[in-house]
Amino acid sequence: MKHHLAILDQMKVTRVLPLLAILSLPLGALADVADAAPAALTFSEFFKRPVGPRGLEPTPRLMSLVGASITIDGFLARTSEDQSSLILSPVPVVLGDEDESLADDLPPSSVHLHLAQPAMRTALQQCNGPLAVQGVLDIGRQHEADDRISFVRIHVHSARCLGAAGT
Amino acid sequence: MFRHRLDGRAVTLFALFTGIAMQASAAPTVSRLTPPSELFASGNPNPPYIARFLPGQRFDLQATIRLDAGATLQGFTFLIDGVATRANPATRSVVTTGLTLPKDANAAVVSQRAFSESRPGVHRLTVRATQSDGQVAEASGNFEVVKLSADGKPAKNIIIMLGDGMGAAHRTAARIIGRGYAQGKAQGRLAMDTFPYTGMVMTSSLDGIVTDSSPGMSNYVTGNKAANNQQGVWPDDTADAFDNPRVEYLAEYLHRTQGKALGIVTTADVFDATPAAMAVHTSNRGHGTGIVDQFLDDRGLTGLTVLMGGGRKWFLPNGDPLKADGSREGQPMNGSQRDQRSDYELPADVVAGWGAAKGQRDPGRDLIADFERGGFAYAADKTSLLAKAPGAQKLLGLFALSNMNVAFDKIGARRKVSTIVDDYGFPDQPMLDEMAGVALETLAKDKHGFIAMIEGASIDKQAHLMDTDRWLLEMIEFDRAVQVARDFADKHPDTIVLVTADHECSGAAIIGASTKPVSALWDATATPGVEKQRDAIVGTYQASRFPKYKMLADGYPQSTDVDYKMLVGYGANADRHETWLSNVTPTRDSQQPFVGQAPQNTYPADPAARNKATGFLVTGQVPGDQAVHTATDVPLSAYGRGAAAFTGLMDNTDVFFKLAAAVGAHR
Repeated sequence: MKHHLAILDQMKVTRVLPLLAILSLPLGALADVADAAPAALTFSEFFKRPVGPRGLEPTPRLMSLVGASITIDGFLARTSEDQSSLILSPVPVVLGDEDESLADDLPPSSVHLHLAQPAMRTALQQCNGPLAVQGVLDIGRQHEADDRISFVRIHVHSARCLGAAGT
Repeated sequence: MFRHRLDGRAVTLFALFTGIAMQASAAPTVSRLTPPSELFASGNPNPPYIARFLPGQRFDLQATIRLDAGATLQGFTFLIDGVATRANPATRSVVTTGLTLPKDANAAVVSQRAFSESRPGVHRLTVRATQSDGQVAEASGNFEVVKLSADGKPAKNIIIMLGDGMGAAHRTAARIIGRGYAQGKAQGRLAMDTFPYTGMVMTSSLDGIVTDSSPGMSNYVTGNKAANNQQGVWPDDTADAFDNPRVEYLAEYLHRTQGKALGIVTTADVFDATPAAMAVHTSNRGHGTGIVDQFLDDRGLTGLTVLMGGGRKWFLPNGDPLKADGSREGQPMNGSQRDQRSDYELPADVVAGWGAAKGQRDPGRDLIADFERGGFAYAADKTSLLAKAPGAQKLLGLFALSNMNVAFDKIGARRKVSTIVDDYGFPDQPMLDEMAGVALETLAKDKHGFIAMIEGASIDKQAHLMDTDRWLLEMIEFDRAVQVARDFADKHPDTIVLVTADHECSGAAIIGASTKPVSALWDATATPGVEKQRDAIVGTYQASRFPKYKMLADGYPQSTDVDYKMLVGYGANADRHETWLSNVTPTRDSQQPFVGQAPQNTYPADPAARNKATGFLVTGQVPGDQAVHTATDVPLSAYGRGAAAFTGLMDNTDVFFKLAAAVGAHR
């Protein structure tokens, strides 16, 4: 049975976070975000197939949503080590295997989640199952707090746990 | 990490200026002495000697000195047979920070890089360290420099065919499928079966009876035991993954002394433990960025000429940074996994001692472009590989973002009965025998000869997953590559070919065969359980009879789901649900692009989830979701010049010295 837990509703910050997230974007993205309804994005829409000689290439669909408000479903990557970043993965993964440590099982399409409200972190981490995230899409190289390089980020407005809450 | 060249005077002055009061306490001690020895560890001076070297083979000397509280290190000396060694000061270092010892430990890790000893025999290594109050710590170990015999004409080329995880059962199973048995007799031999000399290899690592692939490969090509997860190095007490005490690889030794080239071919990601353990020195097999960088950066030390496999993600620049105006240049995302954490930058003493590239933490590096600037032709698929190979002096082939697809799925695509390779986004991947042929043709252009390692990597990976039918076809693909190597040796008689494994994986065992036609196996999936799927199907002893597989012209079985099919069990198993039927899709590999997306979203997550509704549960004997490696000895077969030395029971480190003798390393 799926539980729909509106994490941010409990925190009474739903009206503040979108503004904070918007303010963190390049100015050029503001107009799109203010007017558009969230677009439903899936991980399968990230990359062209087959893969090219120089690696994965983003689809026009993904690039068209840069700076836009989107929704996407995924799983929060679990790690027993550095938890300074929140990563949304298309499949459940546990990072930091002993034998290959940094060469871990993170899928290439994984997304770093940036929270304007740090208090969201605990609620997100307690979601044991699929997670529906809404926020503003950002793309490009960025050095993250966990020392990973992210390509795709979401400045999270809200999130719903679609699985069982709690660990 | 604070690291400085040893300057006894400077260390002493530092102690004086800081005004540290020396406390009366126990004398300083030596807690680690490298190379490792039983003389140091237990006081036993007798053979077998843990550390052994070729005459002139380079290795690092290192010791961890536990100082008294408040004391500093004044100086250190390494002695061989009581005589102080002499070394360029730039090759010596003292490390006092960034250690992995308890926080309250006052310690110094002292090193002398790229030492070598040319005199055969057993030598006593002593470290003598003086702390700031004049007290001395001293400890000794030993090592052997092996005298090689000078019999026979030396070989020019070495080919190591490495079936990762391939034990005796894997070989037998491939023979049953690929050649068939009748009335107790094999109706033919695998290519590896035709090698005239066979022995058994003990595979244990420095720190456990069960090895992983890092020491499993490294031990063959350094002559020394590495610890699990480590390759080309010994353990130390620092956190840096690239500063561990090194031992020279066979490829480095032969390139330095004979100018030989190095070729590495694998079906895994090329950063994986087995390929990296041919050339890269690190204490962490997961540091992919630094590993692949060093493949190129240190090609002057190793002679790297061919590198093929998966792992494109480590070679791609990880995008361009955001510029002040919000724009970016170039491709904004490409699936690169390069990052600072897994990159390398060597300390000055390693650079000075070994002549290695210093490196830098540069996740934005375009390593494919750097390979091309270094004279490598780059192939991204089978078509470009076959097109570029004839004119190439050096080859880089990166056929997948992570590990390549397995033979079961590649051959399915060629027969147009499977779209798995399309699901992964790499529809035109070469088979291992095709890669091997191209690699050997390219390496043969080097007049000095070569050492090549050609790995069937997913024998191990699919055995971990207990996907029997997939590792069986990996075995057949691997044996076809063995045939290519043997054919090469027939044309180039100055070649020695070995076929072996780094370890056994999964405790695979041929337990018998189905007593039922394959239709009954399918029927049993409707009502899964032990009674119908185990008791009614598993035929042992004479009930196993002789299953017949039809081989097609492409060299692979038409199907592994035949009537009365061979059944495989696992002695090192995790939980799995078993139907005895082949699995239409592979088990999920989260490192692949498009994972979790249709149709990969239908792939089972692990062997316990696989066939959960259709198979019976086989309870695992090991924790986790995969089968594990075992300590079982593995077969080694040899062909060509110098092959006769490879018989009987041998340690994996013995193989190094036998290979060195075969190519006349001592002459």
